[in-house]
Amino acid sequence: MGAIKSIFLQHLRQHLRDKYSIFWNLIFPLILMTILVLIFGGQIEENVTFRISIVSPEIEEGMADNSYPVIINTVFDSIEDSDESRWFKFYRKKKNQSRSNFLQEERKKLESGERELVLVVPEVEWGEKVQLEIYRQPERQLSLIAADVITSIINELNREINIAEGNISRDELINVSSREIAIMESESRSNFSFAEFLVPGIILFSFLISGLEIFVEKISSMRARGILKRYFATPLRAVEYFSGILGFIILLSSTQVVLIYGWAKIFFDINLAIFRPEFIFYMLFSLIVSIALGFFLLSIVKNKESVGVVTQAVIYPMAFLGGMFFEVSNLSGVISLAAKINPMYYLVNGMRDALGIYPSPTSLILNLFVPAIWMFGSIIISSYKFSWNPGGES
Amino acid sequence: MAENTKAVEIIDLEKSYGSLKAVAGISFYVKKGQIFTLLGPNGAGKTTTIEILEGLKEKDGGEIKFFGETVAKISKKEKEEIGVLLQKNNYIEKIKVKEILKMFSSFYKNSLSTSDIIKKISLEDKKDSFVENLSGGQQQRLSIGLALINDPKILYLDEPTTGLDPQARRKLWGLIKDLKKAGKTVFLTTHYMEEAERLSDYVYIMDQGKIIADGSPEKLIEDLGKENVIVFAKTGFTDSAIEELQETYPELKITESEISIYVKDLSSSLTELIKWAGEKEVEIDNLKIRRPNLEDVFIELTGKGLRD
Repeated sequence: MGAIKSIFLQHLRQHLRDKYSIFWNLIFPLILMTILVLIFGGQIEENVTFRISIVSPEIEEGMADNSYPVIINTVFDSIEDSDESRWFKFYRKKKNQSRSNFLQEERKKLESGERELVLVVPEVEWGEKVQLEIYRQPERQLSLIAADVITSIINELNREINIAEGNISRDELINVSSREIAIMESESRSNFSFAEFLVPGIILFSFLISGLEIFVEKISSMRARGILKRYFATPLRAVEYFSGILGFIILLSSTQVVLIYGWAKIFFDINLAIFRPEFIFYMLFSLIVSIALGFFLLSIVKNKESVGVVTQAVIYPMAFLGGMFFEVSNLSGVISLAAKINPMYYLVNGMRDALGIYPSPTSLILNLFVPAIWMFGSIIISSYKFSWNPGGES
Repeated sequence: MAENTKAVEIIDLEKSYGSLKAVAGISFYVKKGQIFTLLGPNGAGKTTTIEILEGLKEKDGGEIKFFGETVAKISKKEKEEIGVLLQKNNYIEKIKVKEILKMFSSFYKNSLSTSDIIKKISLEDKKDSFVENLSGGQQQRLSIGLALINDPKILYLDEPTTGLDPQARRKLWGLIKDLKKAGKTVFLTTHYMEEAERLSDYVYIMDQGKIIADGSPEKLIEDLGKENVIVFAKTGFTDSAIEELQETYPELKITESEISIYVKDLSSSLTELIKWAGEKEVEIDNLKIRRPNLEDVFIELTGKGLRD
């Protein structure tokens, strides 16, 4: 126990005496968060696709071109064919599927965050007053924006009809009413800010730096310089050394959490229940995954000079494609694949979900399973390849 | 030799790295309370041997006896009794002298007080200094201090004075002699023959993974059968002049810069040499006369210098 304590104290002292380490591990995450909030605050879901379900009556053969279902479908079809199609993805009911069944399914998807909006077109004759219904999620900014966009489109449609027909009074135009749908999580909150969205990401980013940069670079440097070899010429066991350094990383990570939360609370007025057991679980899980990844890197990169480069090349893509700072569930192509195999993506989704600020776009099972595969994979590979000794022998 | 007088003994020790046989079945023992030296050039297998005995490398074959007890490898129990100074000693940044001593003392069940060690290595005025700010000699004394922190029965010092200036080297020799006076067994590796001669009670000369000679420094030199060495610069000697010289002095040794002639009767040999140089009109520069040393023993045995 004395050896573990002294290894812990040695790393703590070394860290506190190194201005570079203090800046990158404790101050930089706060600066990064501040910059991101100042630049992107309030624009949490910018540049994404609006996933909209259109629940309209069956369009039958012989139906008049000026029937409302045909007009509205034509409008959305023309949007899909236009340059603006990248902003929208419309979902329509399949053949042989009942309208009520489709509506029910799509409402569930809206609740779980898979849709931003559900638009219901009633079955009415031309000339009758039409009441479109929009289902949206008040907790999701993207859903609210989608509702505004659709309302604008309908207003534009009204104006076109008005111009074309001339004789239709304003009362006979299409009206839109909105209905709000609560998200599935009963404890979920509304009115969350970008800062609140960002806090779990910044915490995870700090853990990633602790796990990869500090852990990998520190041990790699000590290994290459023969410092670990000298330690292991004493009765000190590798497990004692590892426990000491792990204790230091846990303390550092806890300090990072307190600082990030305190900073965000004071300057961005956040309100997050960070002591929720689920959130604490995700934090510990994230830290273990980060350290396991660190061991994996240490095992495969033997050259001390390469370690820094490889670490940086891993940390930043993992952070940005892991959705730590921005929502990445709407990415497409190879980048989407890179995000989907990234353990950080699932960890940050799980953390946000555990805080009840943002429903996870991925399931709980995936949020645990994917990082766990990375963790166990790293541990297995490390157990074969890792060596404390620069010469390769332990 | 009675078993209870041996600190460490190895029998037919072997270690290979791929196809390279670093240690090729060597055997020796270290007597308690003595300074034992493994002397040899770089790459002879000294560090591999000492690292097996420190528990940092595993042997491929052979037997190790640690204070009379046969052990498969040096493990935690034996490490409690061992003090180690590695060939290259680096330390983490931003750690003070007293802090690193305290940290190392926590690795052992029993340890001496850090203030006693600081006093022993004469770093009292540097105890609050960062290790990185110490001079090379001070860092090496600290390394000895770390090797002594557990009051070990045996100390392994792997090339302890490499890279030190002559003054720091002599200071460290004094410290090593003090360890012997305090009853410690010291296992030293070096490629400095002067160091081996001054410090060792017993020397094993190692080359290419094998022991090629052993004995006390005095005995090894005596066995050489030469009383004096005439040394002079090779500069100015043509190949034909060297050939002629070799015919006159068959025991001539030539290195890159020097020619050494091993003689018993110094005055007559010196007169003959000067006469020969006058006849051949060859200039003899930097003429020195010295007693034979362990380097000469090594050259005699292998035909090459320790630093070749």
